[in-house]
Amino acid sequence: MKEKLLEIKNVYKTFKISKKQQKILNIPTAKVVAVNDVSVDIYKGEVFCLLGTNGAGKTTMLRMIASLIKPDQGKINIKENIEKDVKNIGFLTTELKLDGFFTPNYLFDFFGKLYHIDSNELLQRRKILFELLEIDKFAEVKLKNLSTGMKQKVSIAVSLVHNPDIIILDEPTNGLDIVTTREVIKFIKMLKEEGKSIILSTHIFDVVDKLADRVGVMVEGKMICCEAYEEFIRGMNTEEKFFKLYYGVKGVKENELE
Amino acid sequence: MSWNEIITIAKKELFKSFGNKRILFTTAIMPGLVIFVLYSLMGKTMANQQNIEDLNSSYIITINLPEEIKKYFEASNLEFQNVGYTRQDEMKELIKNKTEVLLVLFPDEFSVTGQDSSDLNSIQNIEVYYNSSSKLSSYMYSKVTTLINEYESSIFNLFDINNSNEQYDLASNKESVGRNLSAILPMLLMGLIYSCCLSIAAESIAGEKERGTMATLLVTPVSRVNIAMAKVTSLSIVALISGISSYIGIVLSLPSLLNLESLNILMIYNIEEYILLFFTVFSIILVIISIMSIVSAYSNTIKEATTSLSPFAALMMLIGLTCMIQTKPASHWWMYLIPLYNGVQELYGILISEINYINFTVMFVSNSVYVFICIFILSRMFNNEKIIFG
Repeated sequence: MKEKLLEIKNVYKTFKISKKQQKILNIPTAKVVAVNDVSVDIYKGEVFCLLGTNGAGKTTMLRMIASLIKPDQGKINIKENIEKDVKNIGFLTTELKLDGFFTPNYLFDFFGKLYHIDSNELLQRRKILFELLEIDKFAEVKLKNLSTGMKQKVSIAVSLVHNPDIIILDEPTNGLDIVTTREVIKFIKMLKEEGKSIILSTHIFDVVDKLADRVGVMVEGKMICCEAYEEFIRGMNTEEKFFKLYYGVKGVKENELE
Repeated sequence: MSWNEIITIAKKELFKSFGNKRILFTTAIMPGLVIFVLYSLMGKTMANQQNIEDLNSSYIITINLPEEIKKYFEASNLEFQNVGYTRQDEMKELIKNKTEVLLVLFPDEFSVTGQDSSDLNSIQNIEVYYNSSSKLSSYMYSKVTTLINEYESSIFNLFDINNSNEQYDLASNKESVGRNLSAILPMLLMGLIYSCCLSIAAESIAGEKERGTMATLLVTPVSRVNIAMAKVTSLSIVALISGISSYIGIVLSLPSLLNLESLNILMIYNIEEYILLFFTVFSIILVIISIMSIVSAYSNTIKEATTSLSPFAALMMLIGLTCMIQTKPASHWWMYLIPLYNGVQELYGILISEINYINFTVMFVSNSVYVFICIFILSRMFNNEKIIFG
């Protein structure tokens, strides 16, 4: 039986909106449900891909797992790493950016210190990650002078500075060129082989096909589907399955789509 | 509370501020340099204006100049040229077109003695023609009328006031310089502290929110209180360096501005007073930075933060102005509980060497309490998802 690292139980999250936003969105109440009664477990060594359109509640869900925000209801239980007295979660999202004034070396050490990593261990960790992600070549160049792909590699390295067991990657290949995308996918596979649990949110079906062990689909705050990848693609491809589920919730008939 | 975390974040902030030559120049060197150049120029301009007016080489024109007054003019180093009565209109025309400076026309039978002052009809009229659109002419008019009035008084002289080389003003150099400094320094310092705090506080919090780097910090296991403390500490250090730079600029330019002869002004305060001055300025900076940090955290962009903080400038200047209005610093201890006003009053007291340690303690302790309240509010704000994610 697989080891459960993360348990999300009946999580519910709402946001208050202004009267102006209420008018624009044509919503009768001042509250918007971002995540509606979501439950899911994440197991050791799996890649859980989260699919959904913009505003489906994926990012809110990931923020709650990373404890950046708190759920209104429900529980998120993370299995603590007893050996390391630090957060067992690494979080990479397009919203979280690194200061362009600093170099990858400086930022890696800075975040390492904030995670209370011992200086020798930090050195080792930097060596491994920088080598794997090929950051060594530009480790002393200020971030503002790096390309999007290079910056993303640094962000990945920094989010893994404390060697977490659970890694949240929110659209990790967004805006990357084909070569860097390939490198990032390869790196995620390697993390999985190391036994890390990865929660990956993406809009790119190809990334799901290459990485997913299980797939979750969120529409309007609800997790409408959560199953093994093989089950998910049974009889159709990822894209077809996603739109079938999505339009199913939206109440659009197939013939209307055609 | 982990000091290591606070130091790590504060070091990063300081490295960012001082690792960049441009920022280093604008925060640590430029404030002092700008003030020094600006105030020195202001002082020199004022001195030059005075010098122009002191150039008494310009002579005046006189008609019917009596012998007694001639001697008095000569004794007063006033140069003149006596011309005939017939040239009166010609001289007036020359004054009109600013070729000549002044014309003093004495009556034909002018006599300095034997006049009955009680008979108003017998009072002789001396006519002084000048051109008010010329600074020199106006100045000479004032000088000549004063001289003539003095001469008139000397004829019936009964007593003089302070007519010897004795030092009549018993205030020490320190007191008089301190009085001058206390009138302008607090206001200048408040203005300068405001401007340097504004840019760094807006950049450090609203700027980080705008760029998305603040959320990256909040994902780490560092407590929000520690992040708030580190931010306020590093910002205060940068602002303090800027404040010291401004202070040095002010002090170095004061001899020019106040027309003092040397830099002895630096020596008028002792070590104890400088230490108190340092802690007072630091305390003011901490309060300002803390308040600004809260406003900055509420804002989503640097522009929004600076706009929200702009009314604060007027308040700061107004508080700084109180030293010009008041004859002495606030005496009641409870007045030193009022944030910002307490710091300005303490500065006032130190500059005129009227130090009250109870008031200083009340000011310093109350400001420290306000700063901790602000840090607490800031840490709560960092927990608020609406504030962090807009």
